[in-house]
Amino acid sequence: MLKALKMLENKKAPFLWPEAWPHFAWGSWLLTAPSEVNTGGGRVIDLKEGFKGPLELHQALLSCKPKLSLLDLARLWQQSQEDPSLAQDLNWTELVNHCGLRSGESLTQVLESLLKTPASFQTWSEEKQLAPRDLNLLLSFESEKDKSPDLVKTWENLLDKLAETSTSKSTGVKIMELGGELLLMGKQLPSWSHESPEHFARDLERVRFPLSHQSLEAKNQELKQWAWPSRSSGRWLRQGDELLMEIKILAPHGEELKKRLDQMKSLLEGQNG
Amino acid sequence: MAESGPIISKSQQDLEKLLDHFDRVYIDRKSENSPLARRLESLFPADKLEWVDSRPHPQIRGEMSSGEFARSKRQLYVTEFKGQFFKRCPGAKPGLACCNYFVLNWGQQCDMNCSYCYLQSFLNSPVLTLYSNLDQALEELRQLGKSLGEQSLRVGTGELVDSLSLDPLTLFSHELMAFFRDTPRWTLEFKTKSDFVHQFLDVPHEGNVIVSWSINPQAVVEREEQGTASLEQRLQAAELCLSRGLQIAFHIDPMIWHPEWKENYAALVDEVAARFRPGDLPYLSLGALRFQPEQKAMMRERFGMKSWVNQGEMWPGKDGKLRYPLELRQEMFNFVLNRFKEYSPEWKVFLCMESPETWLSTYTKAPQQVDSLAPLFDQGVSRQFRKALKRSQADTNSASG
Ligand code: SF4
Repeated sequence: MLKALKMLENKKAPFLWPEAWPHFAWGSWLLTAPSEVNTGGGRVIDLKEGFKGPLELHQALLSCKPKLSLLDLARLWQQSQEDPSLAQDLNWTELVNHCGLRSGESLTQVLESLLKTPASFQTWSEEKQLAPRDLNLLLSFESEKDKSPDLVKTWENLLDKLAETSTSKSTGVKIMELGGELLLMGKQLPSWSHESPEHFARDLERVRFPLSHQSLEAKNQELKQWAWPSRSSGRWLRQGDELLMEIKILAPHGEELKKRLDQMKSLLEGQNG
Repeated sequence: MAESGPIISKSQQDLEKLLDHFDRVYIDRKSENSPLARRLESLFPADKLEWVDSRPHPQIRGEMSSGEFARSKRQLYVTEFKGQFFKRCPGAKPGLACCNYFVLNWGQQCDMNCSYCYLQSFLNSPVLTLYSNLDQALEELRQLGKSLGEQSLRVGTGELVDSLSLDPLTLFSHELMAFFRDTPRWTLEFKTKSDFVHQFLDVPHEGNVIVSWSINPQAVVEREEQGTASLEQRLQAAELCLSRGLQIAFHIDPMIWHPEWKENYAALVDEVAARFRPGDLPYLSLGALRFQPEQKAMMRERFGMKSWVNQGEMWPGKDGKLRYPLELRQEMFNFVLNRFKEYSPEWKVFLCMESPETWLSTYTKAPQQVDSLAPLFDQGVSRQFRKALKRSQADTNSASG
């Protein structure tokens, strides 16, 4: 009796294996189909002996699917915890190393918490190829599960919304970080109804970093009072921990540019003096 | 004489606190005959001790989980250090102004628990490690001393392990103070958040030992510096050291923004100014919260978002560390600096781990140009030291090759 690896179940983008091909197994573990019914008419090749010599389970698995996602790993980890025969057959450390990760408690905790997120988010995390560090915040919510179920619900709704709006990886990770921290701080999230994910991320940043935002606003208000030469303007921008001034000067030709630069120089000297 | 009663009982209390703190003590058999191993064997109950041939928990490598990190603080491992003990101050990097300061590491990990601790992004060992071959470290220093001739130098000891929080166990202070008695032009600095000083108060010294405390308002200590001595205990320990002719210094570092920061830091300055005179302290340093982005997740998980450190508005600085916005740092530094200057212009306050830009906006001068601070920033000495270090390494290599 062949046992299926659960990593292949319930995936929006399943581990597709052409129908006409024979399936692969390793010992009693079916590697290329989510269940017995899809084993291509029952023709299954055991990779335990391999074609060029014996293979270990993780090697056989990686030769069928060379790039495993975190979700794949999470499901394998879960199954190996539930089924001691898989834990015995699978060299978990080697498998994880092949995926460019280090096995250890910090990884398995992230994997376990990923499996507790909404299914839509799990799929999004797989599509966007999130790394464990992108998912660290999940661990902070684990400890809130018993204490504040409502908070966790709001968090899960946020994760669900990320997936629903097909947010890009970088914006999605930013929204998770900012939104998650705000929730854990006991703050209300700004509403996310029709805004784009990018717009929502900016709103979150404003609420998460109020002092930085206020000082930027105040500086920009100040700039508005300046007597700018015609067709020139300026604004303060935050770059890392610094505020930098950006000045824009439009001029039809070099002579005019020189004149405006001189005016700008006197303006700046007046402000500093 | 009148003092000896309470002093002995305090140092005994400090020791007992540490014996209680550790769940397990692993001693590498190779360190068996070291004074440290022998002392720990005599102090700890047998059921806490275990002799080992290699580092315990070998399966834990690389990044630790927050639980593993927390557990590592309660498991002591004694082994030999193989490598160079003596390192330059990590702040001395291009783009950062830093004091002329060199670091000697005799172990790694700390028994205390600060929310911002940089060890959270740095350590990858599941045990608090102490090195049993301090004698070799001192030999390294002796060799360097020879190459340096008459140069003066400050040697710090609290980079990867607090200088004094484990000292009642190790008594490393005794060996170091004895060594520095013979090199009076060198300065030894212990940097701590503990108040464990009683164990060395009677050790003779040449006046070249500085005991420094990182201090923060009590509200910050309570919220962000678990397991450390209270502000009052630190200040009392400083007074005691001063009374024994030891030099003392304070690092108001890391300053942590919180809604009542002005009141709390004003009260801190007032307390220091009320209890000490500028002449009592060779210097006082200021620094603001900063940490590596990689440690954020662990900090969040371990201390939650109610922590002022985790709530901080942190942005990446030029060196990649997360810092408060520059304008906020300047406001915080100026506030403390001005408060000290209101008491006396003689307070020698400098900024540690800050960029030249921050220095200039706070002092309008580079560190080396501030009269009272110039001796701390003798670049010539730093250069000489680096050369000496290279020479000594080259000698070692050619000798072993
Ligand atoms: S005292 Fe220093 S080394 Fe110890 S936990 Fe606090 S910051 Fe880290």
